[in-house]
Amino acid sequence: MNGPRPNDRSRAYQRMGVAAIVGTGLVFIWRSLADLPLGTIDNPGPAAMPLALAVLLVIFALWSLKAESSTLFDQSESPDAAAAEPGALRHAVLVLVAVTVAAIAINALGYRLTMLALLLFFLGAVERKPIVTVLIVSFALSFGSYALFDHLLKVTLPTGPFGI
Amino acid sequence: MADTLQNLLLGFEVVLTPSVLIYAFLGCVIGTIVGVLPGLGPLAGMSMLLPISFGLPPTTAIVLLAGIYYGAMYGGSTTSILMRIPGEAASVITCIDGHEMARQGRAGPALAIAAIGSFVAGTAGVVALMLLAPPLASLALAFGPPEYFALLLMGLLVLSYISSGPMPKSLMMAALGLLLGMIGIDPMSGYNRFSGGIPELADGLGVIPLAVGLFGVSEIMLTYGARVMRPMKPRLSELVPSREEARASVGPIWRGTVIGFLIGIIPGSAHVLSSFVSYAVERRLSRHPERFGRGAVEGVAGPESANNAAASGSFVPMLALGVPLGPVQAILIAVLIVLGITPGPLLITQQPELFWGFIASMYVGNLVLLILNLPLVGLFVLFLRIPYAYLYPTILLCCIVGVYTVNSSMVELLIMASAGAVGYVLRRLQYDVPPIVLGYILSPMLEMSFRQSLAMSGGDYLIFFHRPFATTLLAIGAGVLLLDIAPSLLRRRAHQTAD
Repeated sequence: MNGPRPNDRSRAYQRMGVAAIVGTGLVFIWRSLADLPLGTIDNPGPAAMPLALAVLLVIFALWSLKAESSTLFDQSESPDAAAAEPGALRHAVLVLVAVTVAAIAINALGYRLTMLALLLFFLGAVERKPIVTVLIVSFALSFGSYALFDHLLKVTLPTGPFGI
Repeated sequence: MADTLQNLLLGFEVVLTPSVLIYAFLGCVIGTIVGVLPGLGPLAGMSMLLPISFGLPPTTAIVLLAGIYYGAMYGGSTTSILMRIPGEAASVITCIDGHEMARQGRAGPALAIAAIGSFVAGTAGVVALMLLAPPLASLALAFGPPEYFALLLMGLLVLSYISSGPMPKSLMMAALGLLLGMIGIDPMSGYNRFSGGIPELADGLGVIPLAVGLFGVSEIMLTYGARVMRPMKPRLSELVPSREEARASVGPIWRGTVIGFLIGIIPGSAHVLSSFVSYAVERRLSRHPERFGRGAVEGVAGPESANNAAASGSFVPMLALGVPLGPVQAILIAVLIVLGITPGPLLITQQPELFWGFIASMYVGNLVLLILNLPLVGLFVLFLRIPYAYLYPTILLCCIVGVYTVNSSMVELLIMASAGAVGYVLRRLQYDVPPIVLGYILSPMLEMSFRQSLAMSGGDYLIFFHRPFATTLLAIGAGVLLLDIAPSLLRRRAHQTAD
């Protein structure tokens, strides 16, 4: 009952990556042909260059897959580059979710409250640092950076409820 | 020559005003910190700190960002020597002999030689840049769309060839970047391309959210559980190299300077390549190559000089032609565009304060870095002791505020998050991410010059082969492509012959 060898797994990840890029290329080809005039060979339209590049993207992706598979075949002991340990994957997902939530919330909650929540989440909930330190660092960074940008550099940042 | 000196004086007049000087100093300090912190290279550092530059006059903004760039070049060597951890990619080679010297109790001289070599190479590189850029810009005025198209295409091919990964993968990334650069309104026809009905995408994805996401956010996603470092701290009195070490370093410093500057002009992350080439040359020239890897001072002096000279060389195409042939220069060009400056060969005549101020700031920056890096080395390594748990949320905050301040757009923050996710996956799969940003920046120029060339020739594709300079550049590009393909073709033929 052996699991997949690191090299097999790595090859599978590489193939999935190439498939995603080929998919992206095909979407660009489809939208170019569907939405934009192609023009003529001596007077290319707005679809021509994207179409040519998307075709090249697919060709390069397939070329890289071919090159990659022969390399992986030769190096049976190559490291499993694509695999991440569970903690690292959790960290990556947390960062991505937090940034996305902050992006959605920033206009409604304002800069200071959003950043405060982000810092409290990472320092308090994820990293479990001492509560006093968490509060000091979070308030100092969120309100300090607001003061720096808004007051000193005159860059307007959004405010939320109660003008905070 | 008299004109050059007069212009340089104008540059110093611009730079030696208190406000610009403060930002040059600030850029060098921030850059050194960015260089010292492992994982944060000049690209990530510049991307994250872009917003600071937006409220500034163009000259000050460029001086600040360039300071961050060569500050990071200097700072990267500190952690390489003291801890065998390269602060950025160009310092990888310094780890070998620099850290060996540190282990033998010669950390101070290793740091001093690295700083002096960087200073000499940086300054000599700026002199060469100053002498080379204006005549090249005059020459570039004769460039038409076919020459620009050929130059951009050659740049992308050379970058893909010298990237760290296999060429097809890098070409794929460059093509992806070029495609992403086509999202938004086509300036020639007015068609809105691939924006999916999202009004914010009419102007494109935006280089800032893309760069911050690909370099900054993905870096934080990739770095998990970094430890607090405990580096060794040399005392100021231990910094003076012995007479023998000083004598042995002179040749490598000058050779590194020449090698670095020449390689710097080549498209791509040339500063990384230059340090490797310099190390190989020094080892080849040495009477005692067996000392390399065991604390040879030449192995520190050469590569450190080369990567700083390459940093100056890489500004030649950017300043003379307005064409960024590397990701760092692409970010600087993007800043100029955001600030309303049109980069190109006319920059020198139309914006002399900016051009010569930038050149003069590099002299000032090199001096500031020499003064900063030796006495304050102990202070900079203290940054390595900030726990990562506090560091990464702070960097995330910088990324978010950096992107938001450009257009106060939530959509751009979401683009940054998406670019972060894409960058994370690509880097996990060992793809080279910089060609995406370079492709994105070059995309409008490439398409415009291609379509203008065809309009000029009435649809005749042979226009690219009727113009000698364009033909030469395309031939170089094709040659580079062949260099990558030929070995595998020859291997296959040999296999077939053997069978």
